[in-house]
Amino acid sequence: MRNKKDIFNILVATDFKLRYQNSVLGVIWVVLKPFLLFLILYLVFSFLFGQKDPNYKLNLFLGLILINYFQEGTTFGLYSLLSRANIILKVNFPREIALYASLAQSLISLFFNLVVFAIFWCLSPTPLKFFSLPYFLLYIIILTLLIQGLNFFLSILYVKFRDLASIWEVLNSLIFFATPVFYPLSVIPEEYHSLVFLNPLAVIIHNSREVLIKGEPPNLPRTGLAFLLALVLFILGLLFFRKKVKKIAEDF
Amino acid sequence: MIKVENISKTFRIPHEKRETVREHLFSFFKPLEYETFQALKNISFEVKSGEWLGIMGPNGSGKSTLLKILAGIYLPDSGKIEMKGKAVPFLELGVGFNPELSARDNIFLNAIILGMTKSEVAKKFTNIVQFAEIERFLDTKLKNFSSGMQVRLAFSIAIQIESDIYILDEVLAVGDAAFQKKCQEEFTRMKKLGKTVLLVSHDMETIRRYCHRAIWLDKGEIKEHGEVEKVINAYLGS
Repeated sequence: MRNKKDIFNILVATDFKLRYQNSVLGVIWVVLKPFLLFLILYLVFSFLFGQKDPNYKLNLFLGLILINYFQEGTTFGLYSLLSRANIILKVNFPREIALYASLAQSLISLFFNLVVFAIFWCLSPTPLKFFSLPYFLLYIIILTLLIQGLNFFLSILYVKFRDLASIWEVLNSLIFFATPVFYPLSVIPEEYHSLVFLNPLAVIIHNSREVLIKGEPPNLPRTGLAFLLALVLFILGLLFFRKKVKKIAEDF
Repeated sequence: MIKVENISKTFRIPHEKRETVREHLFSFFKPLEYETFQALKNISFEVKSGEWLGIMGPNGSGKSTLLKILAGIYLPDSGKIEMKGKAVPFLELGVGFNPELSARDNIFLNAIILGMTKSEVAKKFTNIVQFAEIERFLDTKLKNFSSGMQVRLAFSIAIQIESDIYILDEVLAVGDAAFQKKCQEEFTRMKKLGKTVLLVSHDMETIRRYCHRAIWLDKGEIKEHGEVEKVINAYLGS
């Protein structure tokens, strides 16, 4: 296949056009959805956590953007093969492209959301350190590896077990509550922190806040561990995917 | 050139398809009862460069499975396939067409999925549009096209795809008389250009007119193989 790149581009462009077809606000929803969720959570929880954390607003917004990327990314990834049954059953293009096209879709949302965040961020008196942006980029990379690693499994398994979609939805809300997104880490007793940070999402969100909002260097051992975990998941996922995808058309 | 050696394909069809986790859990200790269905048994044949091979057989005889294996969508259980040259499968016209997109978008989508690059599509865009006679409806959504127009568009894209080997599944089964005529003209052109073609059809006239040799498939086996007239007579006489 010499036109891999063109296939990728056309799948991304098509998904993007179709995503908000027939909706009045169209692409604005990409930003509006997490922002509205932010408003709701802010109104509900700022009374509770606002005093403890002077940066509660920014912390909440950044956390929501990152967890939204995770949830959307894995959900799109889950459907990425089955939703393209019409072409997968007729043409033999490299199937990984379908997964990367779905990932690109959530990266587009992430980008727009980060632009909105950047405006809030510039307006607030947050210290910008030289290491802030490179580290933040690293956390986005770790998160992306994690999402794609999961998607290699989810996309294949969903073809075989159709109720994985519902299970994953529930798991996603569990992950949302198990990760310090709308509550600060300080509400969890100190001795449980190491447990919380076994969750790579907690490491990514917490340290992104440290470098971007607090202006403090991140916890490197935890970052390393999260990176390693994401990388291992990605490699295992890729191997699993390449092994299983050859026969997946028969299960459609 | 296509060389197929001893291809076999078996599908396992579970009696009750377990798709949900509940079904998997509750019947965990009950082994899945499979019915094995052998779709293809030891199929071997060869198509030389520039040759047209017709494939006929009743429904369920394994024609589509064979084409899907040749197209690389299914893996055969055993056997070997050798292909020299670029192959494009047309298992269906208009693969990937989306009713919510404009004709323009669909042209790019379909052509790229079938293996063209974006710049190739751009170059052939006017040809496609003229051949399909849809100049005025380029920015109309495909869902507002009549089914005949959709087929015409799909066919116009298909014929622009350069390839050495074409794998065609029942492409003539759709469309009105005018479309059939266009198809015939296109086939004649392809034959003159010396393309290698694998053609599945229920229409004996088409096979007679274009194919050099033919295969009769029945229940996954090659019943007759060779000269077109001989195979057609055997098939129709069965």
